Parts: sequence; C-alpha cells; structure tokens
Amino acid sequence: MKPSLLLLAASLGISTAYAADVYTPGSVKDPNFLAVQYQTDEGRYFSSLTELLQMDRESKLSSDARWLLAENYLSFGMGNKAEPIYREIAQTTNDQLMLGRARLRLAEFSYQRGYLDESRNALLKMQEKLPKQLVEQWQDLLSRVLMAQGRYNEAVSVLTNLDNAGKQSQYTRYNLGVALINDGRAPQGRDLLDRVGRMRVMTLEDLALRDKANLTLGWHFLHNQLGGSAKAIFGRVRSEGPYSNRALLGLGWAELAPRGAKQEHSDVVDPDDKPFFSSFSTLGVLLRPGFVDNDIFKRAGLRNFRLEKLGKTEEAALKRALVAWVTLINRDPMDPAVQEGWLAIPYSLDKLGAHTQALQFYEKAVENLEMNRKRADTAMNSIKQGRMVETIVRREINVENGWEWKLTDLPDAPETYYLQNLLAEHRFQEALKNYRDTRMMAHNIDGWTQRIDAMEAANLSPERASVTPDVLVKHATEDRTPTWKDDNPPTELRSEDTLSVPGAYDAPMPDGNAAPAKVALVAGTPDKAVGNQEKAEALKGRLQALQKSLADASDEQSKILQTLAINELTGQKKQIEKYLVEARFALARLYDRQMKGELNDK
Amino acid sequence: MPLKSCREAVRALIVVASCATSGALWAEVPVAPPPDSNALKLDQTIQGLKDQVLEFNRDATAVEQDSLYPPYTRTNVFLGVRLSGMLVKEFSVTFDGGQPQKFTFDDTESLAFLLHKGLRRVVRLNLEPGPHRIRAEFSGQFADAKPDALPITGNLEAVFDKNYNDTDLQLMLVRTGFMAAPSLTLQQVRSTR
Repeated sequence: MKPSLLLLAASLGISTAYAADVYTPGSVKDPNFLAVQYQTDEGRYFSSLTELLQMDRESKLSSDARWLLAENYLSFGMGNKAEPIYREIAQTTNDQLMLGRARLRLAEFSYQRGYLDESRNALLKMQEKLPKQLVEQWQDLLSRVLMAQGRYNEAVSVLTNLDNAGKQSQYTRYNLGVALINDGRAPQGRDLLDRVGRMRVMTLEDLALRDKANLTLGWHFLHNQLGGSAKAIFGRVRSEGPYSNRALLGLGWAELAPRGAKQEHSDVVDPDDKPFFSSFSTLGVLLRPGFVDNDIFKRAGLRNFRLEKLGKTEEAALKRALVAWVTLINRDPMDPAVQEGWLAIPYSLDKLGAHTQALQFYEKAVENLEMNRKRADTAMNSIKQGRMVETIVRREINVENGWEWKLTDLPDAPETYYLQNLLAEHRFQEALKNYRDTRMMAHNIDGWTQRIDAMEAANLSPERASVTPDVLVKHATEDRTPTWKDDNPPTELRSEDTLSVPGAYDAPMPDGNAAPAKVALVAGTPDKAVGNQEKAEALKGRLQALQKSLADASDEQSKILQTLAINELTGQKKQIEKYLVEARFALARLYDRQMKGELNDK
Repeated sequence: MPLKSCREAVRALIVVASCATSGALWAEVPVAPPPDSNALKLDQTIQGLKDQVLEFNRDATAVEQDSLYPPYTRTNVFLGVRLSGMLVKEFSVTFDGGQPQKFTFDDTESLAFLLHKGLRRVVRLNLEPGPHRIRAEFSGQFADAKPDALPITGNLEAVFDKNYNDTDLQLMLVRTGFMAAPSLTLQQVRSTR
C-alpha cells in the first residue's frame, strides 16, 4: 500500500480491510455462491442459474451449490434438468427430509404441468423412504394426482389407509369428500364435506374453502333431490364471496326441490338443526322469519297479483325461492348464475299465477341475455387480439420467477370476467407461465445485442491494449500456490560453472544421437486465435437463432392460451344462447296464452 | 363490471385451485380437464429452449466480464446482513472519493438478505491494482420497529489493496458487540484458484 495513503488513513482514523480470507470456488464461503443464494431468495431464478452454470464451468460445484442448482431449475420450470440432479444427490445425501421435500416439489410440478403419470410414478417410488413429517403432504398430492386421473377409489385408499385423518389439512379432507362421493360412497363423502363446511376459519383462504365445500355439498344434495338438506348447506355460504351467486341460485332451487329424507349421519346438519355461526354474513339470513313475508314482491318490483290455487307450503316455498333470486339478479349480470336467476324468477311467478309479471320478467331476461351475448362477442374479439394475456405479461416482463410466478391481479379487459374459472386452472396457469417465460427470455436475448456491441467496443479500445506485460505477468503469477508438498521439496537450483560458453558446443553430435529436425506438436497449431472478440462474434450467431426459436415458441404458446380461452368463452356463450332459447320459448307460450285469454291475473 | 370484486373473486378461486375440483360445481362428478398433448409437447420444447438460453447467458456473461472487467482490474463488492430482523432500505458505496452508487431495496430485496444469509453483489467495477479508499453508507430499520422510529444509519470508510486478480470485498452489516449499534465491516476475500 502506498505510504501516503496509509498515512492518510491513519490520520483520519479510517480502518483497513480485514486480512483477505481464502475460499474454495463453489463452496459455501464463495461470495459468488452466496450471491446466487441471495438471487434465489429474491426469486431471480434465471440469474441464479446463469451464475451457477458459470461457476460449474469454472470449478466443481459443492453439494450445496448442486442442490441450489436443482432448486433453481425447478423454480424456473425446468423439471427435466432438476430431476437427474436430485437423483444424483439422493445417492449421497443423508438428509432424507430435505430430499423428500424436493421430490414432492418435483412431483407437484409434474402434476401441475399435466404430467400425471410421471407425477404418480414418482410419488409411488418415494413412498418407501418417505420421512414421517411428509406423509400428509405426500397423501394430499398423490390423491390429487389420482383424482385428476379419475382414480377415485385409489385416491380414497391413499387418504384413508394410514388412519391419520386428524393430521390432514382441510384441503385434503375436501378432496377426500369429493373422491368418496365420486367413488359411490356418498354418505361418507357428505360427512367430510359437511365438516369442512363447518370448519373454524383463520384466513380468507379458509373462508373460500369453506364456501366451496358448502357449495359442492349443497349442489350434490340438490342433484339427489334432497332440497331440505341442500337449503341448510347453501345457507352457510357467505353472502358476499366468489361462490355466493351460485349458492343463491342453489338456495332458490332448494326451496322448490323435494325436501328429501333426513340425512342419517348425525354429523350432517339437518335443516332444523342448530344454526351455523359465523362472523360473516351468510345467505341463511336471507330467509329469516319476517323477511320473506313482508316485502318480497315489493323488492322484486312486482305489483300485487292474485295467487293461483297453490298449497300453502308450495306458495311459501316459491316466495322463499324468490327472496334468494331477487337478491341474485341485482348482482353481476355476466355471472351465469345471475343469468339463470333471470329465468328462475319468472318461472316462479308463473307458478304463483302472476303470469303478466312473469311475462315482463321474461322480456327483461331476454334483454339482459342479449346484452350478455354482445358482451361475450366483444370478449371473444378481445381474446383473439390477446389483450388480457398481453397486459398480464407486459407488466412483469422482467420477473424471473418462472414456475413460482403467481397471478395476483387481473387486467381490465372484456374477457377477464368470463375467464375467471379458467384462470384458476392449472392448464391455463402453467401455459401462461410458459408464455411469460418465453417473453422474458426473448427480452433478455434482445438485450444482449447491445451488450455484445459494448463488449466488442471494449475489446478494441486503445485502453485495453495499453495494459503492460508486467501487469499481465503479475496477474498470472500472483497468489499461485506452489504445486509441491512439504515432504517433496522443490529441486534446488544451483549455478553450473562447468558448462561450455555459448557457441562452444556447435560440433556435430555423434551418429545416432542427432536431434530430430522438427518437433511435432501433439495438438497441432491452432488455425486462428479465439479471443474475446472472436467469442463475441460467435455469440451473435447463437443470439439470432435463439431469437427465432423463442418467437416461434411464444407464438405457439399464445395460440394454446387463445384456444383455451376461446373454448371457455364459447361454452359460456352457448349457455347464454340456451337461456335465450328457454326465455323466448316461455315468452311465446305466455303470449299464446294471453292471446287465448288464459292469463287470468290482473 | 365491478372489476375489483372480480379480481378478489379470482384471487380466492386461485387460492382454492389446489383442490382437485376446480371445475364446474354444477357437474355431479367434477373432474379436472385432461392435459392437452400439444401443450405438453410445447412444454418440453420450452424447457429445452430455457436450457439453451441459460447456456447462452452463461457464455455471454463470461465473455462480457472478460471484456468489460479484465481480471486484473475487476473488483466485486458484496453486501450482506447478519442482523436478525434488520431490513436494509438504502445503501451507497463510493470509491476514491468518486460519485456514490446508490441503491434502494424493496421488501423482497431486504428480506432476501436475511433468509439464507446470502450476499448481494452490489457493484462490479474496474480498479487499478494498488490501494483504494472505499466509503459505504446504509440506512434501515428492524422489522419490529415502531412505525415512527427513526431509521438506523451508519457508514464505513476503509482502505484496501486491489491485487492483480479478481478482488472481492464483502461489506457486512453486523453488531460488533452486545448492545452495540449496527455497523458495517469490510472483509477482502480471495479464491484459492
């Protein structure tokens, strides 16, 4: 260190750096490895992988670095690369818990991507050495894979064989309930769904799951003509939530469906059983005494009418159904449940004898449904332009978290609403992640064009050429550890004073000892130098090829997303058209009766 | 359309998507749609492409480092935090009295310092072999501090010797003693290579 600077440092009380510590490249002390760890924790898997691959080329990666490499490959959506590294680690590691977690994560990746057979095989293979702490997680994942394959019976076996229901999560119980019902063991399935539907909630996710369990169970009861049980279950769903519209629709139909037999299982709540307590407002409060009788027709905007000769019970049921549906039709008109509500109200009115009012409601329903059909057309055009997907991708173009990426916010596009359910499905989410990744990589590769130009400029700059040989020699020889060991000291050099002076040994060698005229180089002479400039030039060719491949993959992935969205929307549009046909048919029937003077209400 | 409620609804739907039955609840037997073979084929292609892009980045980064930061001048500065719950918000570093390079960290970045004791490479620059002065400053706060608590700040000035090979400087935010205020330390490390 220069004495002047040292003096300055001493006078200012400036500290000096601690003595240099030595690290083995690729080890846990290597700051480059720790920088990779930081990037991983930040969710920058692409950058982490780039650095790890660079470290791997320069020196052998430590086992910690190999582990991180596999984790990053998987997080970036490269299960194919992660799997052999995990397999290799499995040969040497003693940490079965960490390995088990990694294998579960890999199986989850395969499941979400749609490689169901691979996921199932991997899970069955790991069963033998499965650490106890991972049993429930393993059961949950394997059951989901089996259910996705339609193997409900096997899914039930996986979830029940170990007799550990007390340790299972509510999500697992929900899945077991569905699997049991689909496997023909309805009473057991209902029991489980009922328990999930009554669980104590701690988070918003719990609330969503509870509502979903109640909705599933409620519709299951309805399909089985058990209106009484369905009504109680629908009544538990929150009045405002992602499932509330469908529950309102079901609640109305439950009033009109046959009441059905009382459920035998003691755990299933009977309609007359104790009320469901919750700090959130639930749909059950809609049907509280007094709320139905007083003003339902007023709230529906209906003037008084004379009722058909209905039984008191039927009339009361229709009135209660109307309560649910009148609430429903004031909600988002794009929701299919709301659309069905528009048809359900005039159906009830017609039954109650309010034919003219029914006719008016059918006319309104047609108007609303036509409007929705137009909206669906607009959404379809928007899908074809890829607006929603493009907005999602563009606002996080540089985010490198690959498979770990989560859709947390939605753009304001015409198709957004219609695709809510599809957006939550793995087949769409995984395709979207791949599309995002291709766009992110294309952006990265495009950025290299300028960076390569900067490299070439640096390589040709006069400053670069002015480096003295002394610096290069010091760079090459500094900190080099001698190759000998203590027990094998270097050969000592000594001066030789018996040699002839230069030129004195020009005499020809004795026969047979002549040196070969030419020394053959084993490796041959290189055709050309491969320096940084040549390497930069070669990168340009690879860059162009990658740009094309990424653009092709991106287009193809975009088409898959578009097809999924179009199919989804087409299904919803068909449903709207089906409702329209029903509404128009009912209208025609009512007009016909009106013409014939058969509508007797005034 | 009330977009906000729509967004909330989708968030909740995504949350429960881990259940196997995210299909229509109208159906008696809700089954997840079968995977599309074209989608799986494309996924394989994209996984292969990712590999190629990563290899390209590895090679290009190596050439870029050699071209822009020759080893005899290359200097890397890393920042780490070894104080539980300490969230670094701002950091700056200056060499030989030059312009400071400033950094602001968001929550994800601040937390990443603490998760597995990783280091962030804050600066890579060229310095001639020989002695140099470094000045670093930080500002942060403990995660459990009161909202109106003043930020914790500190700085470090030091002299280090840049050698003829890669020089790695580790700036670490630590507490040097029990009850001592958080402060920065500097350590120079080198590879055995």
